[in-house]
Amino acid sequence: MNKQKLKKILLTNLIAGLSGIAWIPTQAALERIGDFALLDDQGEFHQLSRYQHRKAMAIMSYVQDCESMDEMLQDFKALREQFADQNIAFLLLDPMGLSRAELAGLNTGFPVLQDEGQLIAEKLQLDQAGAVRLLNPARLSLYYRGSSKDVQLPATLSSLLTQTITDTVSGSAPASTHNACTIPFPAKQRHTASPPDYARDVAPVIIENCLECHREGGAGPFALDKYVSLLGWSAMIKEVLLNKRMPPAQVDPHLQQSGNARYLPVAQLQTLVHWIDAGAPRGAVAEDPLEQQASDNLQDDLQRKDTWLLGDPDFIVDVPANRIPASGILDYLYVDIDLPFTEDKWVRAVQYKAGAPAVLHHLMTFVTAPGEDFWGDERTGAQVSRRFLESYAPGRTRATEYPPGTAILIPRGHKLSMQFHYVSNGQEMFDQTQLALYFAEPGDSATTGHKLQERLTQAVSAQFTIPANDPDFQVVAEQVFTEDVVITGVRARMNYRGKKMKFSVEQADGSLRDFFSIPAYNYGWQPHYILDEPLVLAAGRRVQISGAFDNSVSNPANPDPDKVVYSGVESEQEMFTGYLSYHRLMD
Amino acid sequence: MRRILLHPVLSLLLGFVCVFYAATPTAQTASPLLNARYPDLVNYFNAFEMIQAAIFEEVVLTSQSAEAAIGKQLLLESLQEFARAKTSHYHSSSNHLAMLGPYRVFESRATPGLIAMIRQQHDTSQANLALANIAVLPSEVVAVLNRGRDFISGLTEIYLNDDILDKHLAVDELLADYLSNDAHSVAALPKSSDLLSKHAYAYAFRVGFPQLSGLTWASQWLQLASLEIMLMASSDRALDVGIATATDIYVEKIARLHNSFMSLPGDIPSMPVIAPNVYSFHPGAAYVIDNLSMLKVVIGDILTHPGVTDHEAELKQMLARFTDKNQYLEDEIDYLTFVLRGGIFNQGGPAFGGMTESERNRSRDSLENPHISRFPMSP
Repeated sequence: MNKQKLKKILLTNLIAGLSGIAWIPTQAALERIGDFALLDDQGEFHQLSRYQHRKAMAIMSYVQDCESMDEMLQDFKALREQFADQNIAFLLLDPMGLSRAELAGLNTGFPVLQDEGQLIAEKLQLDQAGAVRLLNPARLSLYYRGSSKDVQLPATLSSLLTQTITDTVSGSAPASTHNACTIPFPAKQRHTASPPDYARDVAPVIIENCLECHREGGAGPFALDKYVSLLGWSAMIKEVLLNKRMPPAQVDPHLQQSGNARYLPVAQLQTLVHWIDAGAPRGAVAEDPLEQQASDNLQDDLQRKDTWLLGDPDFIVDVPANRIPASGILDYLYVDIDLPFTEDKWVRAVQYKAGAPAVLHHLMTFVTAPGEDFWGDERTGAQVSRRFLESYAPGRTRATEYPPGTAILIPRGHKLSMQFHYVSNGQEMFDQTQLALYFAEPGDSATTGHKLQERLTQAVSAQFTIPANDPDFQVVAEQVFTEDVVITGVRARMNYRGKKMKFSVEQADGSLRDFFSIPAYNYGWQPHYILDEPLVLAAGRRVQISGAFDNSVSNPANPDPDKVVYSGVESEQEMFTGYLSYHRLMD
Repeated sequence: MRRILLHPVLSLLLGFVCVFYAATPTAQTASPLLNARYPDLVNYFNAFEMIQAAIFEEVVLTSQSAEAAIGKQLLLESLQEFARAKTSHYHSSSNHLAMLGPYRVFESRATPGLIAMIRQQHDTSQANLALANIAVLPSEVVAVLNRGRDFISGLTEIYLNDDILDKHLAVDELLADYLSNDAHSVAALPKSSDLLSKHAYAYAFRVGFPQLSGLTWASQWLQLASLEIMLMASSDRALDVGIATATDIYVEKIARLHNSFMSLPGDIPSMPVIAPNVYSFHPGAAYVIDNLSMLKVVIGDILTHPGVTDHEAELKQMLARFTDKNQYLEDEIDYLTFVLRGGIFNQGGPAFGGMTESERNRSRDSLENPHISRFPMSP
């Protein structure tokens, strides 16, 4: 301990003594926790760094089977009541992997964070039921470690609020002795005894989930294409896994799934994090499987460069070249493409071929009428029906074939309206993307024997005004279909202040059932999520789209939390639009 | 008397009092005119102290983390390249402020909290104790930085006070008072650029923590720009508009788009560039401010560099060079050549109106790459 630290402790003790506080906290250096995020039992997203508008986050470990859990819960409730209106977030954390239904039955009165992989409990060293941690969202650090039974916990919280505590404080009742409900960490124990093997356990996860973007010429800002790269980025990898920033486009896994959403299963998360915790050992493997795969992928890409996966297209849209400067943040780019078709066309499949995949972050294409542009009536309408063709997101080249019996109509004289989002990567580049169209004959649906169904898109929006510094401005929009439909996909569209969006359908009894949720909206990732299980909706039933904006300092994408924001399609405005792709229910 | 002083309780209390005094600035900052007229600006200046302290603390925490070993290696590799340079990388037309530093997540995780801190309310008493509270700087260093802050506050009061007719004389007196504490004042003459660029740990802070460096320089820009506007505004209305515009520009500088900083200064803001009229009006006062800015960067270098084993000794040694009024100096023309050669844009742009593009042929656009690390791992 250096002299300055000693002086500080002496000073703190003096102040505490003079102010009549009998207990003198044990000060240590500020203890960094790092960022993390979890969903709670309602599917709400909680990220430590997104609590900047709060003074502290208080978390208690909840173990259902612990005999004294109810008592500890009462203590925690009392603490919350004592510090009501003090701008502190109180949360429980379940490290035992209870299901949503089990958690719902507990009626704890708190949001319960679902730590299925126990990685956050490990990080916070929540090793017993009733263990309490007070966290500093601004510094991503630990204020206090102790338990709900620590009689000094309220005094510590008071000190924290008066800012006489900034460093980490240990409670007077050591966490290891306050009760007998120890939390087992089987995966951690297993991996501590035998760390995950790089070649066998780690590299395959990276190849499967990361390499398609994080490679030479890929859209990721750096390559993860060999062991040494992984080692160099290991601390970053751990953090972005734990705060759910990566893989991108995550949705609530307890609701509908989508092939466009990305996840790492709990076991893989544990493997990566525990491997990094163990110092990211390379092991004795002679050949680096990650480097080998990256090399193979490059060869594949070269071979595929001039080929279309579904054979020769019926029509190729050559998009005029876009210039991407070497640096800077680029706003979205909108391009209209006239089509030469003299008759209606039905599109059954498409494939994008990005001209500059290293800088093309995403691309959306709609079929629009001659007088429309990309936004069309969405500028003013709350319900707008347009034809969404397909989006492009970084990754390996893929083609999209619509389900049998369905296709997208391009009426004669209509055009394509495209929205490009580029990121700069240090070199000026030109992107000349191509879009291949494969047509179906409207009366020729041999696969189903039914008439071809048109795939449509409904944009459902709301008008609003977001107050300055509001961390949770809630918005709801609704749509009622007048015929039986099959909903095939959804997409959330908000600007920088977007926080979350949830899609629900009305049940026969009038209640709402959530079917898809994007709990942590990210402006940079807006895929059109194709539902794994299309949803049949009877005529007259409501689809409700609910969500919120974060116009506070806690939103890292917020350009200025002090501004009042109005609804509109420009990027300095906000929009709350849920897209629903669907087709009419077939006979 | 001797028996009383040796009494353990009184001895302890006396110790506490001494500790308290050491941790307290030499004088309480008082800016009544600034407070009355621009409370938001006062809050930004207070926030500057808070984030400066937090940034020094982040640097130390990162260096102490076992997980940062790779970042240290990358930093050392880059610093070896810099050490081979014949001329300073500060105030050059080149820009080496890649926004993704070698410590990567350790730096990027800190920035949202620092921006939130800038937007929070901080009273002056908190700001006064910020540097002492982090307990990573020797008390002598804290005293010099706090005394420097008081000096700048005094300067703003003089410029805002319409009752002071002979402002030059008032600044003379303020400077004389500042320099009267020789140990806790930096020189009112231009310090050698070698103090910045040629010491054993040069560039460590800037290269190791580009975002944190840029954040401190953005705040510094606001401080310098405000002085220029206060001195030059032709009317109360012009003063209000100038301060409001500078504040808006500052908010833009610290704003992030797609989680990336877009407009942080890539170089240390200096008086002849950002506040040329303040510099011309009273060069001595301007040198003090620029020397303090240099000192903060050098403190950051020492706290950052992985090779430093005794931070306290190194900091005291470097402090002695900055408080030395007779050595480590350079001619005014060399100083001006040094600070002016990199241009205005990299230092944050002019006080009046800001700047959106570099005035140099070789702009940041052609030199900076925010998306690719400049510190690739060696295989």
